[in-house]
Amino acid sequence: MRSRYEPRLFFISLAAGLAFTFLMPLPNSMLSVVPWGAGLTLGPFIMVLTGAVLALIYRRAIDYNRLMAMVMAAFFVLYVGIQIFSCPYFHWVGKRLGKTAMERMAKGKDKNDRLLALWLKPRVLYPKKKPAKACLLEGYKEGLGRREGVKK
Amino acid sequence: MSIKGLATYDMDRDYYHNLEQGPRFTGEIPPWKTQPAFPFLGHTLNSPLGIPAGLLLDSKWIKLYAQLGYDILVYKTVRSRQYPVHPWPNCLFVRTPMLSPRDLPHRVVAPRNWEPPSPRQVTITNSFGMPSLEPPDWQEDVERALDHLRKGQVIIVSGVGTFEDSEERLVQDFVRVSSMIKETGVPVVELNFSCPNTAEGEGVIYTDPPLAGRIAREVRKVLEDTPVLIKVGLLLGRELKGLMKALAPWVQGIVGINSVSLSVVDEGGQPALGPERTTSGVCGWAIRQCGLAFAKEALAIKEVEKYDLAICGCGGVTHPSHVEEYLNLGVQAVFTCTGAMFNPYLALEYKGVVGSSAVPV
Repeated sequence: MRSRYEPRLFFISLAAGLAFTFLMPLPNSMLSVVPWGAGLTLGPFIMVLTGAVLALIYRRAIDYNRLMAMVMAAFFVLYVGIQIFSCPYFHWVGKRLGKTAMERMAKGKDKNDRLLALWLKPRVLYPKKKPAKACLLEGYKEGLGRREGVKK
Repeated sequence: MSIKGLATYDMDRDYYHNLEQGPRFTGEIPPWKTQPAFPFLGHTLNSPLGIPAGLLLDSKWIKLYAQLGYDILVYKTVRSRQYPVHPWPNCLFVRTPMLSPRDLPHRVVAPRNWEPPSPRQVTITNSFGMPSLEPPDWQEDVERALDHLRKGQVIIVSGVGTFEDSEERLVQDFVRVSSMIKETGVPVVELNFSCPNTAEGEGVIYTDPPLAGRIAREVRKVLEDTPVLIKVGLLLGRELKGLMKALAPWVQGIVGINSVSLSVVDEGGQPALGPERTTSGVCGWAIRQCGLAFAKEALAIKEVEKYDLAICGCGGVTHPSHVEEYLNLGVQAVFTCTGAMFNPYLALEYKGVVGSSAVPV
């Protein structure tokens, strides 16, 4: 059974996932308290979750399998796409995060960069092989004003 | 007694003599009460008056000046390795009018056989090059110094990295010396980013905000919550703003100014400290306007940018009224080095324990 609802529900799910992916890492967002990059990793999953919930709500009016197939396909595209193609975006996000952290520490009593410390702690999984997170971290360090290895 | 004879640091003898035999002081120390009331970096002090890195060569010096009522005592800058002092002479009187911060002279004269008219008007040039004992020796001595404090007093240890061939190694050495200082248990660490007697490398870090920020950030990682002060030289305007922006996220305060690096010549126009040292730090009475200008600008930048930074004033404080002059600007603490060297009772005069008869100059 096909219905006019499926594309609409798919796009709603996709929008939720994209919003979570691209907006969450922005400064002053949840990323500040979930330092390992919630938006990046969870965005595609949010999309799937939204799709599944909508599919359940509209299960009598739609082809459930078709909608979920669309959502899962989008999940893989989004997840892989984030990891591979979005380095400049995440670098930019990281840089803004770094600048925000600098500003917060400059104006606050706490002069410890707990975000970076958490990111770099061994117990926090930071897979450097994943380009998106690597870009985010690089951008973050740049935002902090890091200038490495310059010979004087 | 000659003005030179009043100094606790014997200018006619070398650094090691003063380290081993000093401080030269035979006066009486009147009793005074501790009354902690001034907040400073998490401590409550008897007064906001202290001595910056330079004069307090070791724990004996800390002990004397703590007894004399100075409440912030900065242990002379240490390194992560033994480091030699510049050859004698290290201190000479300088004859100069008050220096204008925006119009510094090309050179000043340090005449032989000349003395300033009063200890309130002493301007000297000093050139030591930040010597250091081996770390275990100074660490042990810092621990001894901690025992000499009274209630409402605090010790700060000043450290500097040694420049060799790259910024990377300099940063690492700053981290190393900071860790060593932290091991001694002192509550506050100072990093010296300005030495007027080191022409390059570690002496001019304060003119390079990215490097200064990088060092501060790396040191912050190892010091965690221990407050850090940064000692800087005379900077004004955009340069000062850039430096403060780079440092504010990582440090709790800025101390300025260090002595002003100038060409110091004798009456014949020859380098007063010998041909190897054409420039050296000028400090004391003549740099007060420079110190005040720095403090004023730093406080204005802090206000505009809303930085959480303690600004500590230093330079030219030779009379109790000069302390008030700095405090009225809004600084958190005031340091006096040359003033305390030639008038050890300055803190007790400021506290009203000893009368101050002389009129401020």
